[in-house]
Amino acid sequence: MEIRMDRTMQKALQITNLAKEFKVGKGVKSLKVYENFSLTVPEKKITCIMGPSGGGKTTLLNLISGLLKPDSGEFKGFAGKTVSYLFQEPRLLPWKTVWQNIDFVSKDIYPKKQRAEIVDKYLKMVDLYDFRDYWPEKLSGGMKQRVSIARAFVFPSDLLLMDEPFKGLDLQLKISLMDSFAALWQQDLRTVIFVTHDLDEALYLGDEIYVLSGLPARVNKSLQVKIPRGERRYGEGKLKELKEEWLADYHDLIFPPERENNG
Amino acid sequence: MKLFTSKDKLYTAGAVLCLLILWEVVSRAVGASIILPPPGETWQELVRIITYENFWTAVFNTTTRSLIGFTLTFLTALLFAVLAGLWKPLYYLFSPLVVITKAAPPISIILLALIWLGTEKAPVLVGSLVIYPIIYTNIIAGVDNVDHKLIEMAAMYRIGRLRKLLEIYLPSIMPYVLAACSTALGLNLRVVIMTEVLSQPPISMGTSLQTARVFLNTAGVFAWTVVAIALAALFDYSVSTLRKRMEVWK
Ligand SMILES: Nc1ncnc2c1ncn2[C@@H]1O[C@H](COP(=O)(O)OP(=O)(O)OP(=O)(O)O)[C@@H](O)[C@H]1O
Ligand SMILES: [Mg+2]
Repeated sequence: MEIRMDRTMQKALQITNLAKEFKVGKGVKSLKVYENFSLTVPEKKITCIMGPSGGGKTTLLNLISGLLKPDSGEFKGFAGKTVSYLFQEPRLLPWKTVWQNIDFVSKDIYPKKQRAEIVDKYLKMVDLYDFRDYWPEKLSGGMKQRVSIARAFVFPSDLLLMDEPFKGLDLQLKISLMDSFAALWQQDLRTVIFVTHDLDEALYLGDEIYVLSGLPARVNKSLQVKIPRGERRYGEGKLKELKEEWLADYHDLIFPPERENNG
Repeated sequence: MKLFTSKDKLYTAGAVLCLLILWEVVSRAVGASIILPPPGETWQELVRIITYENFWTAVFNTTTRSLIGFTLTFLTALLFAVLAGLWKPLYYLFSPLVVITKAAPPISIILLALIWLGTEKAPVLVGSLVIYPIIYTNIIAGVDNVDHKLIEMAAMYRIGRLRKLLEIYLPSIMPYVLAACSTALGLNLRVVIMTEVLSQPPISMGTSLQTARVFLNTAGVFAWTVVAIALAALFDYSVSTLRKRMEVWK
């Protein structure tokens, strides 16, 4: 058992020489979001992608999910994998209730009785059980986001893509959701690619953190978080030390030393 | 969402009352009920035609014509629009037909329908041809406006074709369909009656209107018009009830 675990852990999904450009406007040169871009995503781990707004993170998830076709590049190990994609927007069906929206993705997968149990379980996890019969239109932004989180988790997939899933949530709820997420993830060890702007989130959940910068995007920095999840405290202790170390480097990156001297 | 409050109803009642008074005043000024019968006389005539033995048969025949034509047209337009929305070549194939039926003068359609079908079926065909482009273009607009982000989401979660059709496309185009229905039902009724006036099927609302005109019974024309308006209002009420029921989530 142990040996098998080890072998699967070494497996990785591989993106090589990815290129993607967009036509973005009238009389403007097309925008090269990716060029000669390569990235390794370890399987059965949580990989965090950070980077500036407009830096190509959503585009990367769209390319991985197959919603966008790359101009060139190779995706090794992705073929045939089922994907749950937690979009940057909730994308709920307005004519279905909260409960039905989640049930929507489980209908073809589980038998009826089990389905109800599963949907209820995830609804409770995102703390929306009391709102199960609401129309999405009647929920707040953060509540809608939670419905879409529950939906993504209900769907059994090999690969889970999450685009800023915890934005717009208060700290307490965010931490409790991340804990539930970590617990769930521990059960089935899906490969997760997690886009976030929040370094604390990345450090709390991630195994591997990549920071993109520039256009065309490059992996500017990467970091492995080796602290076991059970020992991590959100924004505190060892994570805080890591963050400060990291921000010191980042400072040099954002404000190159020569510039600072001149100013 | 409540569109009409009781205050609105009060204003509407006031407006109707104003119109009735205006009608009475003008008809007294004209002084010839063959040109403009007063409301009272129209009311008496209305009571008279309702008790007339063929009244319900006439209403029934016209309503049946209207509803059969509407239903067939609606189903055809729905089928064709969904197919054309999903498959572009069909869309291009249908578009000249739609332009032609939209642009052809109704009277040409009436004459052709009379030549082809005879007095009883002609009104059905004319009504259908007039409302077909309305329903069809509305549904096409609905299919075009389906949120592609929801379709992407469904594809991601491996939702099958049939379920996508029933659970995303259909509810998305529903508002367009219902809007088309509410316009088309009333218009169809009016066109059917108009064609009946010209084609003279045995017992119908259009025939009754024409008969009243021939006998210079203007109050009769008014009374039958009131009946037609009431019928149209009934149609409209049914659609808007259905609409409220189907769009509870809004
Ligand atoms: N479908 C598209 N067509 C044209 N340009 C696009 C498209 N999608 C993204 N872009 C461009 O690609 C760049 C990267 O966009 P992307 O959405 O991937 O950024 P992001 O990193 O997700 O940003 P944010 O953190 O704000 O969500 C942007 O400059 C954007 O203008
Ligand atoms: Mg984004």
